[in-house]
Amino acid sequence: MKQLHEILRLMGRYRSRMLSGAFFVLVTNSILIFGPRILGQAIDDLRDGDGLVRHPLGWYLGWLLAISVGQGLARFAMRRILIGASRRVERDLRASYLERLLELPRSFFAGRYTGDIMSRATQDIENVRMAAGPALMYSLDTLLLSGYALTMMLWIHPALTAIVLGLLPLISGLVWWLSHHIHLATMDAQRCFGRVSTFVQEALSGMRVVQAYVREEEQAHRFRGHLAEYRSLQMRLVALQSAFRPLLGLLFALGQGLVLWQGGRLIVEGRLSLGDYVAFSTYLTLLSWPMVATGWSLSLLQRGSAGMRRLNEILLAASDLTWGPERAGSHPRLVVEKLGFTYADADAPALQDISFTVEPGQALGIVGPTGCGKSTLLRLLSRQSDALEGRVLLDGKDLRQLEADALRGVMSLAPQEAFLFSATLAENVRYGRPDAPDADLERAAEDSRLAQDLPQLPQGWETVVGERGVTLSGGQKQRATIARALVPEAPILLLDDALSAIDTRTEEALIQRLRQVMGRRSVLISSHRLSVMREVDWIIVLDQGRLVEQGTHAQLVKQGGLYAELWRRQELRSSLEEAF
Amino acid sequence: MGPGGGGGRAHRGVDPDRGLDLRLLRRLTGYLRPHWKGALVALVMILGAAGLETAVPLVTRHAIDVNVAGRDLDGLLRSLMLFLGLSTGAFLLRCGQQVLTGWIGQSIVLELRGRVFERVLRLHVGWFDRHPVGQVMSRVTNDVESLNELFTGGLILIFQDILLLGAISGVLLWMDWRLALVLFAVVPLIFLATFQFKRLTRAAFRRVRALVGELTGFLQETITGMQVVQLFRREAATRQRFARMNDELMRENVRTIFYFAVFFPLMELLGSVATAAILWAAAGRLLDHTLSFGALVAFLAYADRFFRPIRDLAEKYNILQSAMAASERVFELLDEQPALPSGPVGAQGGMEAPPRRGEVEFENVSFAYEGESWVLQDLSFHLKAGQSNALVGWTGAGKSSVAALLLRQYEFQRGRILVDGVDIRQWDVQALRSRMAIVLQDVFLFSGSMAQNIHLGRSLPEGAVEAAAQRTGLDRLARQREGGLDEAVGERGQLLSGGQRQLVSFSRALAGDPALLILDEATSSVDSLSEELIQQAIEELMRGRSSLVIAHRLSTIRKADQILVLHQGRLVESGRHEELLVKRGVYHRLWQLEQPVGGGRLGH
Repeated sequence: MKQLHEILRLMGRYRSRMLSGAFFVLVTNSILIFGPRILGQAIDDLRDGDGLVRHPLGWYLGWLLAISVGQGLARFAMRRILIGASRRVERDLRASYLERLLELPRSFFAGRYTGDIMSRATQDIENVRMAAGPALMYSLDTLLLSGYALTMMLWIHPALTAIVLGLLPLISGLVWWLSHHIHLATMDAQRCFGRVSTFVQEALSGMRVVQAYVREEEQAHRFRGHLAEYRSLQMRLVALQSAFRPLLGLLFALGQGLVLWQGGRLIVEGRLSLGDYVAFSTYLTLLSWPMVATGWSLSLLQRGSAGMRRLNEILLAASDLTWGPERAGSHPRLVVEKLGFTYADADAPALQDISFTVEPGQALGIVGPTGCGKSTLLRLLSRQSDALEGRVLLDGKDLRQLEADALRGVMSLAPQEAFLFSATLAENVRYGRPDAPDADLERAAEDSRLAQDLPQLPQGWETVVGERGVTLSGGQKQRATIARALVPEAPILLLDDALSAIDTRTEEALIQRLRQVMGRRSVLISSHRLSVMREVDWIIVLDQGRLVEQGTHAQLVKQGGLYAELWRRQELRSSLEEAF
Repeated sequence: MGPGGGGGRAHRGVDPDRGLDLRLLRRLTGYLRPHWKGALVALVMILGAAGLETAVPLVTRHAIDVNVAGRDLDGLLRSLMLFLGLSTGAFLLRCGQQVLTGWIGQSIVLELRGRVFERVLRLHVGWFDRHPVGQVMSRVTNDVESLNELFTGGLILIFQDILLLGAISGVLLWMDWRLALVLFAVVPLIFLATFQFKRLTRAAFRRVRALVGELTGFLQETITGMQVVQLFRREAATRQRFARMNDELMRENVRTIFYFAVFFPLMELLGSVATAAILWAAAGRLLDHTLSFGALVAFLAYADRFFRPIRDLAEKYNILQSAMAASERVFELLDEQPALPSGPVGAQGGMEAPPRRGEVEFENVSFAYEGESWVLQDLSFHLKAGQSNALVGWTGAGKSSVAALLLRQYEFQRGRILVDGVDIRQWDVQALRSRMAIVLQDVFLFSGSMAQNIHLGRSLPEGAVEAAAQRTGLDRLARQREGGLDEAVGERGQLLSGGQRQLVSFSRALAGDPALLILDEATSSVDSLSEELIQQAIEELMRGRSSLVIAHRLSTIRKADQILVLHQGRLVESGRHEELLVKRGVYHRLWQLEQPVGGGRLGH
């Protein structure tokens, strides 16, 4: 239960809040416990004489109502304070979760599904909250209430209380067992529901294939198979849930029955007053809630600690990137020395012994067949991962010695995957420099040829794009990401295969504009498409992680090696490609 | 009704508090009909359980008033046995009834979901253009799920609550009508409090849900775009924005606590008021012995039970309302008209289909997706059996529409299309499609193995899958993998390369031995290394059958028996490659445009 300790530590910030909450739990139960006693006395008083001897009826009723009001107010405070605290814990946890994610390096995300990271943020945090809030509150509540009730019952009649004490653990254990299994069954059913959804999703996405190949009936048949499985899992859940309440009802009835039997005997023998009996059985009713709550809380605490464990896998994940204190100049020289890198799950190195230099204002082309290590190289240069061998120097300083802000301020990357956020196009392009003036935005749009798309968008710059906005074509997205990389005016620009989805005509114009950009800063371009390589100062050719050729376009074509072969293929491909 | 109006702001357009639509309700209950026997049994069980539960306090009363007062210990034991017997009976009935209603509900939901899915499967392609996958998904999953709640937790249990209320009221009135009236006086207050609470919490929950959606959406996007966030040093800004949403959600959540914190103590207070009022009213009658203690105790016990169904009813009213909204969306989908009317030719029990030749004739066909904006105009051509044909033209020339019409995905407005000599409108859609195979630009693979993706669960002759894989060359690639053709392809086939996926889809087309093969821009997304392989596969595919290749790579088109050139929906030229080049018309221009960009400069 190490995780429970962890949850308590999270709540430490709200210690005074928790304490005042606990105080109200105490108050609630202290008031509550007198209700049945008063009721019992009222009944005895009514029964004893031919009128109310000890107190007038109004006195009793006044007390009953006063207890109810006082108890209600205290319970109100208790809920607000304790559950409110758990909501705050939830917020803190969520914030530190995101904080942690923001600090983790690329390698961390590579091996994980977004859905998994998300489900921790939603499901697991909720589980921790339930443990920190309701479970803790009800545990405390239960402890106090059962303590009080049992004391009162012992006071009224110890032997009768013994019967109840025998039943208590039985009921709590049963509730715990049932809620645990209901939880498991729920998870099973949810997983199955996930499969059902995936099936529908797939069928809908592949509808053209389904219909063209007349597979409708077969799909429907398979779907019904999934549905039948889902129904049987649901029925397991239904059966457990169906047993839950009635079974508790039965056990309470058993308790009430035993008390009635023994109590009845005691009354007959004159050793118990009717009022005491009524009070006792009312206390028994009061106890029914703690019995349920104990089992329920246990199950919640269990889930909470499992959730905490899963969260810790991320909250305590170590980032292998550390940053130094140095800064770089405004026109840095980039030197790569004997760079090597191997992915954690790979046998062969992705990069081996790579060395080259990019002078300020120079343009370097990086070329090679798929999987040659182009993207890995750019990833190391932008320090999304660290090289395992060799080093990268900016103005003679090792990348690892630079401040994060300093490095990212010097380099600007347009990644291979053109990702845009659900925000306006202007916000997306300004992403790296939110205070960029409109003039810079317009210039970046011209340079990236994004300008040609603006008139086609419903609200121009103000068009919301990304997942929840207008769908852009692959080429439009790439142009936007290039514009985004241009806006910060970083001295080194990295384009990681950022032209792949841009059609050939636009590409030509884009390259013309980039040539001007190249004069102002260093540019590193990796690309499958070689047309742009005619414009760079120097080309390095990678194959299976090694630098195999370098030179200018003309030199390399003449050389007749890998580059010349790739260039020939490129020409062949464009001759086969469609015109538009 | 006062403060509840706040809910309207969150969700404009849909009124969450509208009444019950009887027409919808009747249609929903229609799904109960096949289960009427089970439902009847469940109802009887409910009656039994409610009856037994109602009887229990009476036994308690008897035990106290008669047995204890009469000092009859044997009688007490008998009463006790009766008490336990009744409790056990109620327990068994209740368990059984819940399992039974659960089964009925689950079965109805299964049926409903199955029907919705079957209906969707038969809708035509155009419908899917207008309805995004996410929206349809949520109807098949979420909306049907909330109907589940109606059938398992709602409809049948409403009877129970009404019955319980009736039974308890009856018993209370029978026991002591004056005390009962005192108790009933509190009921309106409870109703009011409960419904007000439901209204307020519903609105609050809606706000919470909206905020949660916003927050998770943001988080999801941040995770997906983490690389960009980090590269552009936007961690702090992201954190701040998240913190704002996070705080707002927290505050809204705390606000909902308030409602709960008020409601439950309030209900208890109302209960106490009722108890106090009963005691007050009972006091005098106890003294003049017109009321026994046992009766009072039993009466109080009933009073306690009386409140529960009222609270539950409010709960169920909620379920009923959200089920109404959901069922409206589900029924809307069920009422969609299926694709296009199907003809009798080739249908089961219909007219016999002509032999498979793969011959197609377009006679003055005009087609528009909407109104008068013609995509195809007065189009006529003839695809002879066994011939290879190509369809070329600019983007928007209408090439893909030709394939869509052939597959009966859209209805055309004018002219006639004959497939194997039969008017396409006379064909049974499924029989028609079985004669053809189409390979689409973006290959869609289902998660499963390569073999399953080729087979697609069709009734193919033994060995057809392997033979097809062999002819397209897929088997050579597959042999390099551990499981061969049985190797899983992953979600949407992402474990395969573009070329491999394409070969799977070719094999899929080939396995069914179609009379007519349609390739719709089928090779535009293939990596260069597998190009040669694909080329061979295509030639193999086209051998011995009619084919229609849309906007294909030039090498394939060159060899076609007939090239049809479309321009703005009209057929402008047709003939073989060499003939068309000589004409120096549209085809020649297209050909020129396909030459590499900046090709002149390469010559140096």
